[in-house]
Order: sequence, then C-alpha cells, then structure tokens
Amino acid sequence: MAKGPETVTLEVFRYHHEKDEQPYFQTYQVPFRGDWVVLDALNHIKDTEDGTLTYRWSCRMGVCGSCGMMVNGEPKLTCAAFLKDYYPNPIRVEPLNNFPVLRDLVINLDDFMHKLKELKTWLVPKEEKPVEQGEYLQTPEQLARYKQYSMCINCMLCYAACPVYGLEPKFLGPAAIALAQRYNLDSRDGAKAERAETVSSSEGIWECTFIGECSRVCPKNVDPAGAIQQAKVINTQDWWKSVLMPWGTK
Amino acid sequence: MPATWWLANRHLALFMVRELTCVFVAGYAVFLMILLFRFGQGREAFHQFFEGLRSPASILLHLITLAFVGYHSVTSFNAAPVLMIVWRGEEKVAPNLIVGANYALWLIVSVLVLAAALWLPV
Repeated sequence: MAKGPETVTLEVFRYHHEKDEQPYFQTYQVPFRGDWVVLDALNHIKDTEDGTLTYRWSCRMGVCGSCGMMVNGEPKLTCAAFLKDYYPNPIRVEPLNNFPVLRDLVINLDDFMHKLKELKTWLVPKEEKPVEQGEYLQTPEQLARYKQYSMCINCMLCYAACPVYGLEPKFLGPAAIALAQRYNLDSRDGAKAERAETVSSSEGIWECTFIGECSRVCPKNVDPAGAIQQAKVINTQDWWKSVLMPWGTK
Repeated sequence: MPATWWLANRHLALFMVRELTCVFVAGYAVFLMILLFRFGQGREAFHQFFEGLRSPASILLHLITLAFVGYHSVTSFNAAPVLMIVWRGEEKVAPNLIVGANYALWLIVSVLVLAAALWLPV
C-alpha cells in the first residue's frame, strides 16, 4: 500500500477586527517538503486552501525583513525557518510579539518607524560637498567601524524578543539604537550631537538591561545589544568630557 | 506581559539568575565593610565577629555567595568583548583575547591580594 504524502501541521494565529471578538488559532495540514520554509507553507495555504490568510513577505531570501513572525514562540524570519527543523511536531505561527496586530499575522509597525525618525537614522553629512567636488571618501578601516550595524534589515525580530520593549513600549529599542550607532560611527556623519539627547534619554540606551535576546535572534548578526552597550560607554565618556573639559569643541 | 516573562525560555531565566547574583555581590561588599569596621573596634571585637563566621550557617552562606559571585564574574568577563572593542585596522582584536586579558588581570590581582594577606604583618 503506497504511503500517503507526508504533512506537517501549522497552527496559525487568526484575527480580523471586523469579524472576530478574540483571536483564535486555525489548523492547516501542509505538505512536508525538505526544502520548504514556513513562508512556503503559508503561501501554500493562501494559494490552495485559505485565501483570506494575511501576512507580509517579499524577497523570501532574508534580506527585506518583511516576513518576521513568531514560530513556536521564537521570533524568526519565516523565509529562514525550515519545516524540517520542526517536523513532525506541529508549528505554531503568530504575529511578532510586542506589536499591535492589524490582521492575522500582520502587525502595526508605526512605533518602530516613528523611533527611526526620532533618532535621525540617516546620513547627515559632516560637511556638505557639491557634486562637482566628488564622492565622500572613506577608508576600509573607517567602513569597518560601522559596517556590522549597517546590516540591519529592520525586521523587528529584536523588538519581539526584547522583554524591556514588551514591558516599556517607550523604549527606543535595539534596532533603532543600533542604526543610530551605525550613523554615529560613520566618518561621513556629523549628527552625533543631535542624536545624543535622544540616544541617552531614559527611553534610550539606559532603559536597556543587556538581556541580549535581541542579538541572539538577529538574523543578520548585527549584535544590537553590543551597539547599545558601546553607546553606553561612549555616552559616559562624552558626559565626563563635558564635565571635566567643558571648553572642548563638540 | 505577564510577571513570569522571564520563564519563557532558558536564556531569559539565566539572565534573571545573573541579575540575582548582584544581590550577593552587593551583600558581600557590605559584609567586607562590616568586617573592616569590626577590625577597627579592636582585637576582642574582631575575634568575636570572626568566631561567629565559623558557624555552619555562615559557612553555607559564604559557599552560596562564592558560587553566585563566581557566576557573576565569569558572565561579566565573557561579556567584556561586547563593551571593549579594540580595533587593529579593519579587524577587531579576537574576543578570546579580550576575555583572556580580563581573566589574567583577575588572577594577578588575586595573587597580589593573597600574597599581601599571607606575608603582611597584622
């Protein structure tokens, strides 16, 4: 007797604010294939079984940061979570922790976007150069100082993993601070002093208690925990300089 | 978030254990201050205090404190490369060297303190 196709069970968080009073879990049986990831399973469900299932995804190769969800309680990029790592056990898929749910697996990320703006996470050139004067030059050593923090894909897995953000939503959070640090360490940037007040505020680096979950779950090895602790050291040094040498140029 | 958020996984539980070790570190610092104070009160007072430390309860508390302070120190040294970044050109100095330097300094200071305790006249 031929063996039937292997399947894996997905328990997926569902919620539609117009129809559901409470969220619930819907169970689907999805074909198990060794090369499939959780995102493939969700796409299979949406294509063949339930077109109402709503979730974000884009590149399916771990560079866009769109498909972050909780997989068995762990923040994961669903394009990087292989079914074979969970099979034959059921896989529970939920929206990212610590964010309001818009619908099903889609979260509201306005808070994160707002914090990126607060921290001015873009390059503010130290000196404005007209185009005719050519590029802003940077040595490999200068690039190395911030390169790791430039790898952030804004997937927000770190926010889902951070208990401090869960307990205190005003906390600026790992990715935003790591990105601020990325620009502060960039030799072309001149806005460190502008960012300093927000970075060193009580909702900034000093809210962090170095739990380290953010760095553990980061799919791009950005090490936001490291960025925050280094920002604490730099911020403390700058404060002492301002107290002991107030005549120093900023 | 529930108050039991730290039980969600092993890493969070170990984080809370580490936070708890700070109580024992602070507690031992207070103990050392009391020790110095009693020493300053004279030989008889210090001898009484010292005899009290020989009790089974005191020894047990010291052993527990040693375990927690040891865990605190080891986890702090292992986290040192996160804070102490030393650049050599485009590369960071290997984290193991940073951790090793911290342990080496701990060993040197411990040997110096032990030497002082054994050889300095009281």
